[in-house]
Amino acid sequence: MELQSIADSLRQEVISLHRDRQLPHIGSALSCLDVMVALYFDVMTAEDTFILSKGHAGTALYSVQHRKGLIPDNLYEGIGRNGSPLAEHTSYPEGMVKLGSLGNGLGIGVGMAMANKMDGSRGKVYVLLSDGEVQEGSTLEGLWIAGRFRLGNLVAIVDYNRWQAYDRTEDVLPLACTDKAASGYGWSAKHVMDGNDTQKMAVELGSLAAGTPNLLIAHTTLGKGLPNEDDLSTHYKPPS
Amino acid sequence: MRSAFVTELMERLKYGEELYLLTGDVGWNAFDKLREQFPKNFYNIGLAEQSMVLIAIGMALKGKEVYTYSILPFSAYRTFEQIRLACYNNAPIRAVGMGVGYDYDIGGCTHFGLEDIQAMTSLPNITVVSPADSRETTMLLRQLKGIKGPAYIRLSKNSEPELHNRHDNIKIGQALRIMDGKDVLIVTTGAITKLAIEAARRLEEDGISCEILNMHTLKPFDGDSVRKSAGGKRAIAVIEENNGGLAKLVSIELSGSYGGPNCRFISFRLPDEFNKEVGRRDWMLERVGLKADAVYNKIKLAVE
Repeated sequence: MELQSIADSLRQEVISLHRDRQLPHIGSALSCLDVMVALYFDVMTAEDTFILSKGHAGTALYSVQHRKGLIPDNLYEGIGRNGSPLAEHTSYPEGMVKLGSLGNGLGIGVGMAMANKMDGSRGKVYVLLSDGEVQEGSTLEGLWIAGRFRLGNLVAIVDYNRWQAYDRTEDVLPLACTDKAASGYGWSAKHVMDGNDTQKMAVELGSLAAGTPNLLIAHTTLGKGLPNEDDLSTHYKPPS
Repeated sequence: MRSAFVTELMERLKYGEELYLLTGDVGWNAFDKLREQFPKNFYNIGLAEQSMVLIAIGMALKGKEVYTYSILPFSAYRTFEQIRLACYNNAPIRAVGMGVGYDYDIGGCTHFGLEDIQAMTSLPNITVVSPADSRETTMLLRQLKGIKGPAYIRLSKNSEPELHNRHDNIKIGQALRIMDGKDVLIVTTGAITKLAIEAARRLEEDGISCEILNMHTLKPFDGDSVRKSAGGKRAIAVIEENNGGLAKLVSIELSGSYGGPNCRFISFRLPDEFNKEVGRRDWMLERVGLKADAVYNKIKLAVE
């Protein structure tokens, strides 16, 4: 199946799920779904690790993992119902890093990438961050430290949908210089203008610089595919 | 305790074990030899304690044995949420906090470890150890190898090599009885155990016999032993270099009924405040009643 059709069908699944269970954060889930489809269906190997630092996009990750057979039907079906181990902020399956508080995924990714280097493993570590969470001091520390240790096996992707929880990212703390900061710390950093183009993201993720950590700032649309996409209401209101 | 900690790590490295020590730019002198001999096992992460813990989580989830090290408040408070994430993910990191209570005495309140017992024992999944002397430090570090979840280790700057001779009975999660007695139960933890022993010996001379439970493991807390030992006692005294964390743990276990008839509960602890004046540790502890004389007098008064 073509990558974009997988993304398209999962997009409909995620929208239905949020509508049916009345779950918030649909905007955040849909802006980064395509990146995760590219990673899981094209880029990553069995040795690689994925960390969803923006844990509030949990439903998008669950949909991808379910399609990959990593989450059984009954549990996927139970999202948002009483008794589900699948919290809205990523909490499943065992072995995935459970996150939801922002600013922590990159540092954990740094530790995993260091461990892979120690082991001589070829496995890469992919960390998906929100644009807002770049503001967390611990994310900036992670950029600095990964550069200093030249973690060529670490890839960070920022879901640059230009919205954070209360305002436009540009109006709070603009992301503008993040790629320059990362470059200064020793990363290879670039912007990808069509971050909701799954095929394009797969190509970008498959052609990264060697020997340095890689930062991709993926320009995306909050709530991609919804009638009210690119509107902050998609961060809070479930689709009707 | 710090040299016991470093020695134990170096011994294991010499035997070919794989482990890593991350420091938040702390440990000058103390870690020099380890760093020289095992440069691949030592990382100065920099003044980025949150990332130090996050990196440890990542390494631990990839199967590495990893220790994070800083002065207690920076190891335990600056990083509280990251340690909580280690607990949530059950990542077996070993966070070490150096300097309990007033250990950094004239250094001032930013460096004091007043609240770590309460803070750290409040986290699900964590094991909290608090050795009383250097030998306990070594033994607890060894036993932590069998613990699959995260652990917090509080180390004192002021410790003796051996405060008692019952180290062979040390088992993580079990209270260690280091003195037997029938009149008074003293519950204590960490280097301040020395004071508990001094006070108990003086009470013995007056014919008041004291049992001392050394809680080298604060979580899981061995409430069964505390309850059993409390039975029939005339007084229960809790002695700690903390602002009441141990007293609270003990009192939760004893809620309802405890001790013999008219049993008294006495808490010797640091006050819940930031000191306006500082001085040397002994002076500071004496001012708040953590001195053998004061403890002896107060317990004696309680049982008479």
